[in-house]
Amino acid sequence: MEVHHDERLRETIYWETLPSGLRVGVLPRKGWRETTGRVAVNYGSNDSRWIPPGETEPVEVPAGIAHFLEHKLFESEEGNAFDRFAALGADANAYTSNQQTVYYFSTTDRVPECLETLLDMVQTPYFTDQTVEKEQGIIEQEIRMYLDHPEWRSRQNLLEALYQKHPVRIDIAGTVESIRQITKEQLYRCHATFYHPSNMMVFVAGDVDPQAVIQQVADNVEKRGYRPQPPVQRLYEPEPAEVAERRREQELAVSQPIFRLGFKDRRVGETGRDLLRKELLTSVVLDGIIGKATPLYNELYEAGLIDGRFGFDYTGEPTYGYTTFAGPTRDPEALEARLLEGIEKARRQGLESYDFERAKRKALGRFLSMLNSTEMIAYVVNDGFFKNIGLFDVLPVAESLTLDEANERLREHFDPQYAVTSIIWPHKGAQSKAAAAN
Amino acid sequence: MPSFVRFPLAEGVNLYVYPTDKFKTVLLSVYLHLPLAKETVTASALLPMVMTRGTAPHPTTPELVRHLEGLYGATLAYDVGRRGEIQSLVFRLELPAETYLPGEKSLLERGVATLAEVLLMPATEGLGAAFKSEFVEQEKKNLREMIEGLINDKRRYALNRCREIMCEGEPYALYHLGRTEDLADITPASLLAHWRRVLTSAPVDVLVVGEVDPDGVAELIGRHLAIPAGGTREMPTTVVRAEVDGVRRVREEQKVNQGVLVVGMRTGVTARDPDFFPMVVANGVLGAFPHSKLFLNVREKNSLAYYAYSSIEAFKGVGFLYAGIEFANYDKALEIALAQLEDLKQGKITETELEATRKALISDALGVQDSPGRLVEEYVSGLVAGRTLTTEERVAAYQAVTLDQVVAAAQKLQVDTIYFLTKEGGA
Repeated sequence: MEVHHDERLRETIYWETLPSGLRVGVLPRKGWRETTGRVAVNYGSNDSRWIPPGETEPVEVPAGIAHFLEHKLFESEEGNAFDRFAALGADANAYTSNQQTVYYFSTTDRVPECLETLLDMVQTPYFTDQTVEKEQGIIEQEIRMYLDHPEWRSRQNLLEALYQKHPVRIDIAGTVESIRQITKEQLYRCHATFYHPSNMMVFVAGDVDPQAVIQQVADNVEKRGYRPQPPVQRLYEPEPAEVAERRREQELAVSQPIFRLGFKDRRVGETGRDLLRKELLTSVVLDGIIGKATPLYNELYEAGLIDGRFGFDYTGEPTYGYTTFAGPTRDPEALEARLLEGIEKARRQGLESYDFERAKRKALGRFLSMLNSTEMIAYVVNDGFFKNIGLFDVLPVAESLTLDEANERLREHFDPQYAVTSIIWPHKGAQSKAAAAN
Repeated sequence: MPSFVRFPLAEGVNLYVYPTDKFKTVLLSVYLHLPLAKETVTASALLPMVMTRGTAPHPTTPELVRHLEGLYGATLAYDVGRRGEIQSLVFRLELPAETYLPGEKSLLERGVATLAEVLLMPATEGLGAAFKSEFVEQEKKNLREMIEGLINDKRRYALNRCREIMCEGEPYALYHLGRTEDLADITPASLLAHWRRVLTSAPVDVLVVGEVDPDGVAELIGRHLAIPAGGTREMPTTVVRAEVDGVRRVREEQKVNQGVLVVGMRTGVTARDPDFFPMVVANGVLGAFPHSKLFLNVREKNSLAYYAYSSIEAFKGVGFLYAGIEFANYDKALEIALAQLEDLKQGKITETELEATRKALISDALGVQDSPGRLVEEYVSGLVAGRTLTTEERVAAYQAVTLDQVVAAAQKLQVDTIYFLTKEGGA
């Protein structure tokens, strides 16, 4: 068992690698009521073309299948896992991202039973034509809910404009049409390929005994006779540096336009501390050029082009990365022009040392605040895991950032040639009707 | 087990401190409770938006923000909450606990002083007779957009419409962020006068959660946060109506991809009533969880929805069933949802349903202790209800609920309004 201790944070994580290749992590917290347990699979919506281990021909499956599989694993021959968790008094759920599928529970009682239920559930696929058809109806309503969700639509449109080939441009849930093509055979195949212990991790945080948790996971998983499996070869078409299109627009039943500006990262391929460094650096740069304390933010705010809902963030993954600036606005074109102009000015002038230090200090405070929540810790550990980023890497890397590299990052990443805009407009002529309904 | 320790500061002004080393931050919160009334709802909602823009010592937003960032990125946030017919203005400041920052000795005091500055030293003009007009004008526009922006979230929008229609004519129908038609008449001077009235008439609760010494923090609050003397500062009340006169059906159209069905109900039961816990359990069996009747029947058995839930409100005594559905499935989804309500009233509740609900509610009650924000919100709810319970009391209350009590509580769920948000020219 590996022991990772952080003296300053007063936290310890215990890690173990089981013979099947499964990594198990435990963060014990004395006196905490809730325990959260998670199983993460290194498999998300991006993985729709691959060569199965030991084969030579690529397999291609319909968009949205990883998410569909996530839904279906809650069902077994004996019934619904929600009911089993409910009988234990636990709350359980799951989500699928572009990279990962994560299953989790949160409970204040009977942790071993909950963990057993979670481990059994993800390792026991059970699909019939009838249950697949039933899920198509449910997921169709999930997709339709998102079709009315302006922020989600704006994000999706932006990704389609940023990327020409990379699968991140495809909606995680797929489309009403694509999910109709999903069959139980395909689901079994995806499960067999990606839900191998060597492609998964288990993490538990709460008032638990690390040794006992690790032993329990080992007992559950290792009895199933997994054979060693080499990594799955995932097929991503090469992504050109250039964006797919400069602008995407759509109309929805919204009160005012919703604006989103994205910058495509051309520096990709990093993992571990390099990737973490790039992520933190980009966040600090963003805060330094358009955080709430900056002149640019306040000019836009005072001009009535943004309000408290305006936000920005950087997404950094090994195969892609992008920054977005987003919020509702009365005038998306004016906001776009002034934002681009402000960013260009920042690139020419560079960050001031004072702003850089301030942004760093703030990042430290925010990180501590995040550690208040066991579920947030679990999320951060999960999110970093397959990128080879550890929870305790964050503070030292953040503290070692320098102003020079921040300015270099600012100039490199925020090149307007790699920027795209996504706008959601209110329906033309629909305003009066929406107002009348108020 | 830690609990909130009360320090009375003045009549109607109280400090509650919850000392614990569980969290890495200290959360300071100030609540001011006001009656939800159409004459004041909009101006009150506007107050925290204006007041967190700047203060007399830090009169521009960048100055205030830089000051906060200097406190290790302390977050200053506001909220406008609603509990029944009570509107609460909330000011929060969260900052790292000093113990994680070697060498920091005065961070907490600087945090308290900053929060006090926001409340007691607003940025003003006209010799202190008006809020800074620039802030007021900008925030009026932002508040308008937030009120109108409710339409962007179809689920929240539909729930709000159903509430408005069901409680038409009652203060509860008001949206807690206010009404756009009131904005034009609000001036920087009228708003500051309103704030002065609020500050001297509203009950004030100050709450601190984190690694602090209660007496030390009481001393800091007493020294920095001198709320001016006021009247009796009585907690506002909510009028509860249990009776329903017939079922109203409303259908509204928008260009949407999915319909939202909402059934509004009166329960007449609030957090002060003896059958409150049985009512919470009844709602749990009906629709609060993925094991509940609505989720199982509307979603899992009939594949009609992705979300199908119910909720009850602890201060006004109302409740809602809601689901996102295909337009054409309105009749079927409504029939199935109402059948679940009927089954509940007839006592068709299995031991499994009852026990799963009980456990989920107990787990939820215990989990409150792991989050500073939830600790504070729940304690304030108790203060507003006039009945604060410890976690242990809450757990015991859920344990004591019997099936008969649940069925008796369920009888009080009376359907009042059936609302459907559908597509234009829709089914």
